[in-house]
This record gives sequence, C-alpha cells and structure tokens, in this order.
Amino acid sequence: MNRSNFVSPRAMFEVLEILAADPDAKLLAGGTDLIVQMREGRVSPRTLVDLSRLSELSCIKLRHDTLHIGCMTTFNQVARNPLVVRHAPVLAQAARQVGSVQIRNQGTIGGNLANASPAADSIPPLITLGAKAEVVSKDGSRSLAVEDLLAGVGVNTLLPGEMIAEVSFSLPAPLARSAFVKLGRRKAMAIARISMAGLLVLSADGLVTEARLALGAVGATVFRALEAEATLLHKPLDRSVVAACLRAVQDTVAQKLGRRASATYKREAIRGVAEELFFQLVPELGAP
Amino acid sequence: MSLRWIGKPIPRQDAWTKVTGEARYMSDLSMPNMLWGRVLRSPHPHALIKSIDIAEAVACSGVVAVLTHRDVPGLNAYGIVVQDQPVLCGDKVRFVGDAVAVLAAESKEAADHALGLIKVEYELLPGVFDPEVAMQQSSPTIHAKGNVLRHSKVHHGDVEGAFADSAVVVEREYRTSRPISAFLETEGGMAMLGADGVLTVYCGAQYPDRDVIQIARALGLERDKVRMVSTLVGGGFGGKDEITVQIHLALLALNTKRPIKLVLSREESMVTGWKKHPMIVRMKTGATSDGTLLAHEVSIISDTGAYASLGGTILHSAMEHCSGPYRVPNVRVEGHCVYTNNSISGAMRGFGVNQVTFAMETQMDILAEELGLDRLDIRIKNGLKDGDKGALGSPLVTAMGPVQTLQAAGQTELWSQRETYKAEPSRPWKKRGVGLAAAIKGCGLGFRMPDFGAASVELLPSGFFRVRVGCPEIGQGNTIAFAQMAAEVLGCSVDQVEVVTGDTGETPDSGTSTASRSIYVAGNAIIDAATKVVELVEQGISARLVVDVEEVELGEAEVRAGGTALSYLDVAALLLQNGQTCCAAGRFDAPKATEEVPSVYGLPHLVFGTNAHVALVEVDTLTGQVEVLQVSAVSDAGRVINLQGLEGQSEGGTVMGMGYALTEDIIIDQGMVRTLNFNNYIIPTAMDTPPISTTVVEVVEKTGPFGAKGVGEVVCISITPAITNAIYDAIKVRVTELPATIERVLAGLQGV
Repeated sequence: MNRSNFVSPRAMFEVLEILAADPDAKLLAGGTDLIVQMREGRVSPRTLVDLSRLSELSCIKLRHDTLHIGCMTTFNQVARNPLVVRHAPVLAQAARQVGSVQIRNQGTIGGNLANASPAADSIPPLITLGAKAEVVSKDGSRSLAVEDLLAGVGVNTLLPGEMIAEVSFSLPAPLARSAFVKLGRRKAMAIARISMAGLLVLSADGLVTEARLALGAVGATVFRALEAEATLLHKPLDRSVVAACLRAVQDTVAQKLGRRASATYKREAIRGVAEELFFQLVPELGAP
Repeated sequence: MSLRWIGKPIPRQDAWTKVTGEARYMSDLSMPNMLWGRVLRSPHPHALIKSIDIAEAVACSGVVAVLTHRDVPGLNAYGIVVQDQPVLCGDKVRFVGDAVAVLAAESKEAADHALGLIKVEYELLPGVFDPEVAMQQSSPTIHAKGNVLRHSKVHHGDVEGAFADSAVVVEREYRTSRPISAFLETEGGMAMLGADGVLTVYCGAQYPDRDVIQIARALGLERDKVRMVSTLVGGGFGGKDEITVQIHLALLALNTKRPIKLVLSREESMVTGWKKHPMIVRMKTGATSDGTLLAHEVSIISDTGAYASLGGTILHSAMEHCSGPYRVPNVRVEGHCVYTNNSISGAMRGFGVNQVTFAMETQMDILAEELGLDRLDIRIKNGLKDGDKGALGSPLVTAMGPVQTLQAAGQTELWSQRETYKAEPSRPWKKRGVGLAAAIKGCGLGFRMPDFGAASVELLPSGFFRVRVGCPEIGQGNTIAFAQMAAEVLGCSVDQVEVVTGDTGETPDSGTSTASRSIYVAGNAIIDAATKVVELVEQGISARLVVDVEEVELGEAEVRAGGTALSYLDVAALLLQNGQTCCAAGRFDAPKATEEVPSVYGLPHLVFGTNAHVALVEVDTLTGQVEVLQVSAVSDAGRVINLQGLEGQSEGGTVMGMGYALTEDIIIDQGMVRTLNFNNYIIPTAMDTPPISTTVVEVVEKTGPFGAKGVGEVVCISITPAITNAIYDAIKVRVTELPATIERVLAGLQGV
C-alpha cells in the first residue's frame, strides 16, 4: 500500500473543504472495498478522509413518510432498524445478505452506492424503492435518483468535490410486496453473480398498479428491467402473467450481457433468480 | 484392557487461548530492535535474469540489507526430495512469485517502499502452462534435465485378459483443480542470531528438524548452529511441510545481526504457497456382471508447477491409491509428474489421494448404474480386507477398515432413509440427491523413508510430567492426544502432563507432522518413554521407602507404595534429590512392508485409515447451485484417542473436501494467479456448513498406539466424490471436472 495522508474531520464542512481543495481525495466510509483496492494497489489516494467521526451521518429517520438513511449507516444498522424492517423489508433483506457479520458491521450504505459496483447488494432494493441520493459539496446540494448515480463498473456520476450525504425514499404503499434474491457462490461472504429486487403494488381487485424490478451484476450498472415491469402493469398476478414477465427479464438480460464471457451462464441462470424472486413475491402461485 | 483416558472427549489444552486470541503464532512475535523483511518476486512466469540492480534500494532510508543470490553462502537451493528451488533466483525465474531478492528495513513501510526500487532486467522466455504440452519434446524447457520430473509405471496381473472377461468396462477422463490450504496463519515468522552464535528461526512449520537441515545447508552453517521453533502453528495442511520463509528469515538475520520479521500477505501466500496438484486422471475399469472388479487401467498426469518439492512422491501416493478402497486383481497404472510455469504444487492434505479417489468413486457409481447394482453393495463387495492386495499388488497386512466403514455408512439414517430425505426439495425447480463414497489413505511415509517417532517423558519437581515430541501441533490436536496417551501409561491425570512440541532446541526429532502420522509414530514413542518412566518411579520409590516394586502403583492423584500414599509432589521431592533425574527417551520405528513395489520408489504404505461419507445435496436446476444439506461421516481411526479431536478432524475435513468439490480453485491464467484473496478464492463459510455427524468404526490396528491409526487426511477425501455422486443422483449430471461450479453444473444440465 502506498502512503496517504489520513485526515479525520469532526465536522461536515471540513470534509467538504478538503474535497473541494483536493479532488483526488478519497472518502473512507466502511473501507470494505476501498482498503482492499488500496492493498491491491488499484487505487492510491493522496488523501484519505475518514468519515467515522461524523456521527450525524449514521442515522435512520422517518420524516413526513420519507425514510432518510445517512451515508455512514452500516448494513447491520439498516438490517436491524425497525423502521426499515417494517416499511422497506426488501432493503433489510438485502442488507442481511451483505458479506458477513463483520462486513455488515463495517460496510456502509453510502460507501456501497459510491463504489457503484454492479454487484452491490443495497442498490437493487434502493432502486425498486425509488430512492434518491442527497449529494452535497462545498457549493450546495442536489438530489438525484439512485440509478442516476451509476455510470459504469465502479464509476459514479459524482462531480469533483461532491459526496453522498444520505439516501431517502418515500415509504412504499402499505400493501406493497417486495423481495431481494442474490445468487452467489456461497451463503456468506459472497459477491452476487446475479441479483434481483422486485417491488409490486396491487390494487384492491388484485391488479398490479406499480411494478419495479432491478437487476444486479448483469450489466455495467444495476438497472431497472422496464420492459419486464411493463408486462405486469394492470394485470393480475397469475401464472401466465408471471411467465411472460420472466421471459421479458431473460430477454433483457441476454441483450444487456451481449457477448461477455459470463453471458452463457447468466443468460440461463437469471431464470432461476427471477423464479425465486416471484416465488417470494407471489407465494400463492406455488410451482411454476 | 480398561482405558482411563483413551477415547475420551477431553478438551484441548490450547482451546481457550486460541478461542480468546491469547495464543501467539510465530508470525505474531515481535522483538525490540526488530527489522522487517520482504521478498522481491518475479512478475514473469518464465524469464532469464539479465541483471539485478540493488543500488537504489540499498541507498534508501531505513534499509539495512538487500540480498540476492550472490549473498547465499551455502547451497542456493532447497527441496525436501530434490533441491531444485533457488533460495534466491540468479539466472532464471520459473513462476510468478519466484524469489529474486530479500531485504530488511527498519519498518514495514520502508521495506515495502524499497522493494519497488530494486531493478531486475528480465529476458522473457515462452512459458508452458499445460502439463500435457510440457511433456512434449518441442516444449520450452523449464529445468535443464527436462520437464518430466517423474515417470513411473506399475503393472500386475493380466490386465488385457481381465478387460476381455469383463461384462462392463467404464472409461472416463477426470480433471481436478488446484486448491490451496488457506490456513489461518500465512507463512511467516521471526529470526535472530543469539550471542552464542546460534541462529533461531521462529516459523510455523510442519517439520522443524528437517527445516534446520535445509536452512543450515543454504547458509553454510553447522546444523547445531541453527534452532527452529514452531509452536504454535496457525494451520499446516501440508502447506508448511516444505520450506516457506525460513531460509529468507535466516539469511536476513545472519546478515543484519538483528531480529527480523517476515510475514507473507494473503495475496503473496496465494501466489507462492503450495497447492494441491491438479491431475488429469484417465481411468478404465472393468467388472463382472455381479460387480466384482476385474481390471483397472489408470493414467495420471500431475502438474507440479515450477519446482519438484514432493511432486514425485505425491504422484506415487496417487498411484498407490488409484483403486480407492477397493480390490482389483489386474491393474496397470502409469504416472507422469510434470514441471510447468504454473505456481508450485506440493503437499496438501490427502497427498495425491483426493484426486484419484474422486475419479475411482465416480467410476464405482457408473459401474453400479450400468450393472443395475446398489451403490453401497458394489462397494462392500469389493472393499479391501486384511490379506488382500492393494492396487499395486502389495499385500495388505494391517487392519483394513473399508468393509466395516461402508457397512456403517449404509446404516446411517441419511443413507437408509435417503428416499425420504430426497422427497421434498425446498423449491419445485430444485432436486435432491444422496451420494456415497469411501476412501483409504496410507499413514506414514512409506517404504524406504526413515519413519520414526521419538519422545521423552520427564518427572518435574512440581510433580507434573513433561512430554517432549518433535512433531509440531499444527492445529490438528495432537498435543492433547499425546497427553492422554502419556497419562494412560503413567497412570496420572491428563492435567498433570505438559506437552512440548516443535522446538529443535527442546524436543527430539520425531519426524514431520504430515502423512497422518504423528499420533501413530509419536504416540508409540511416548508409550515407550512413559513405560520406562513408570519403571523408574516404581523402582525409585521402592528403593527409598523400602517396599516391593510390585507394591508401588501410580494412580490419578497419588502414588501408592505399600500402605502409604504419596502425592506426585512428594514423589518428585523423593526422586529428584541431589541432581537425580527421572526421565526416559522413547523411540518407535514404524514397521515396513516386506517388499517394495518394483519401480516406484517409496511404496507401499503399511497402515491405512478409512473414511466414508454420505452427502445430501439440493441442486437448483435453473442456476446450477449446489447446496450440501447434510453429511454423515464414518471414520475408521483404529482406536480413537480423543473423540472430540476426531470429530473436529472429521468436520474440518468434510468442509475442506466440500470446498474441493464445489468452489475452491486457484485460477492461473498464463502463469498469473487470478485468485489473490478470499473474495474469489471461495472456501465454504460457517453458513455453508451443513450438519455433520461422525460415526466411529474402530478397526483396531495392533501396531498403533492403543490400536490407533492416523486419519488427519482421509477425513477430507471421500466427501468430494460423495457430493459429486449426490449431484448425479439429483440431476443425472456426471461431474468429471472439479470443482463443480454453478457454471459447470448448469452446463451439464443443458447437456453442454
């Protein structure tokens, strides 16, 4: 590892000052990705800005039907938070599947977003929740949809001097159904080979009024499967509707994967992930 | 014989300090005035070294020494069997990770920094990464003597005739992967030169006495000027049997005259550590219509990587075990062990047996299916018994456990109720299967190799006994077993026995902690020493108290002499007066077979442990994911010394063999290791570990201590084919290439 200057500010404005002054400075949140990258020599920031002293960045609050999660909130805090468990179980479900207990105690939701991995566990559920990121800099702040933060594998759309302060989302409808499925090579400490989150809202007569499906690790970024979502809208969740949706998911994934080496496997395996997702979303359907 | 301590689940003496983290490995040690060492390694798989320029690194602040091949005073090579691996490469590098220079600096950071300032000019050579290509004459030559390290053939019986007589012949090719032991503690330690001129190397290792020979030879020192301490060790599994960093440490300590510490990073360990040999195993097996095995033809090509280490011996071990735990009267087996520019293969738990057993146990399942026989019946029918001949034609004259072990496996609930277990998969698109496999693995070093145990037992002034044994505790739990065996003979309680292992300055050379041997050889040596100490105590007390020797009896808390009872403290006070000692040395020379297997050095083995596994898996037919739901293990360890220790070995071995079956593989691409850490080198986690039950079958071996055999390796072997056979049972896909990754299983389901 190369040497870096290590600073540990006590106030947000200091962080933003440093970021403004040195656009190459790297923020250290949980470090579960960054430290590994530094050990492997893939990044060697001149300045490392530790955020652990800013306790205000680690919080979960409900304000006017919007849930705000500070960027330094750890996955275990997310997974165990009663508000998240009650209002956004899909996020809690995904947070529980991150790494291991140790990683979940360390890794943060802001770090997961900024790292912009297509396999990030928290991003598919946040996208299905319609989450927004609050981005701040010395000069002000802006709000953008989580999917608009993602520009490519490990690349985000933050401008020099900016950082993610929090993510927030409006509470889903009380009867929304949601689930997250992750296919990994083992049950813990696994990087998603494919992941998928889904959130469905049904009307009183059983028709789908809202559908969001997000796919992870099958493209350069996590993305919404818009065509597959469209197959569900205004329809009842019966076997044939779900089957059509699964076909659409498979088509989208095949298209997105193109000719990359993992395509042969993932084109097929996505069916298993999507099947499992709908098994959880619509348990009453049972067997395919 | 009524046994007081043998077979009891007595907690390990090191359990508490290891669980709390209080225990210190050699690589945890620090000293005042200590330097940090680092190794400069080749970035190329095959290249000539044109020049090495250390000037800038030497001039760098904080750097104390930079050493190259020119600074190796003795033999610039090491290797347990063949010394073909340079301590520091001078003319040529043969794999990515080959050591080119070592340096010592005042801090870790300074060492890291200076490493980048050493300039090495290379002339790249074409590399060879496929062992079958490496065998061809036209291939680039890695070592002057050619790329084939070992080529051996054994043939007995009428193989052609037996194939002609066979009702069914199964022929398949199997390919195995390149796992690494992934021990908790990476290779590392400390070294320092004492005022007495003795160089002490503290380093986790499996055979410190042999390491001393290798260190002394490389440094041009007398052996008695080198001491090696290897206690405690954070895991070995074979990966610390050969030299790791010992010579580099010694070289730097000798040169700088200061304490030096060198610990490999996990990434460095993954690149330079010893891996299990990937093998291409071609097997043709013939049987009669009732399933009796008649003929077996086997070809093995083993990729030993850049240097020999134990490659040849491992090939021979694979050949010896090529029919698994089964009797085949007509066998032809040919093996090649080949150098490549891949990273180095060496000893790893199983020693060549995992690869061939995976192949053989798949053959057995295919034979059973083709003949319409029960998978268990065909195995029991062919199971090796005392008096049978092994695969290479040697008579098996010790207690063989395959039949008893397989019968016990058949009685496990998981096997006998398998249809019930398979009936209800957790999802409609998932399928369950149950697989069965068995394995044997020789204990000890085989024919010709000196294979001995040595120990001493001493009564201390405190009334405790100290047992000294060379074989290090590498995490397997031999320390508590040693204490139990000593206490059993002495008559005292286990708590009263202290065990010292793995320190060449303190403990007698007792051979290596490998080859499932330490309980067997060292245990016998301890029995010998402890028996002598009992006599010394009896005679000493008899003389001092003037009672008959027959009236002296060592008990759990006291020694009775006629009508008197003495505490052990009193006994020590009586016997250790005026500089007298009460100490005895014990020795055991492992018995050898009467005849060597012709043309393969070092075979046969004499004593074998047996294991069987039954595994229940659930396969996701849409993703290819395999989940191991439950495992029953059956272990024949002869007489069990410590039940808890055996269960620990059984469970750990099961999980290790599960990783071999499903996920673990060091991926090397044109000589570059792509799996540098545990993010993509996938070992099973606690979450992946199924419930494992272990049944004990004690097929007592009369040459073993209290009837024990060694099972440290065999416990990890049969689980791999049990899992792959369970996959077939679930989805009718034959796994012939390890590991059975999600991609391979799904491709199999699609008929690719």
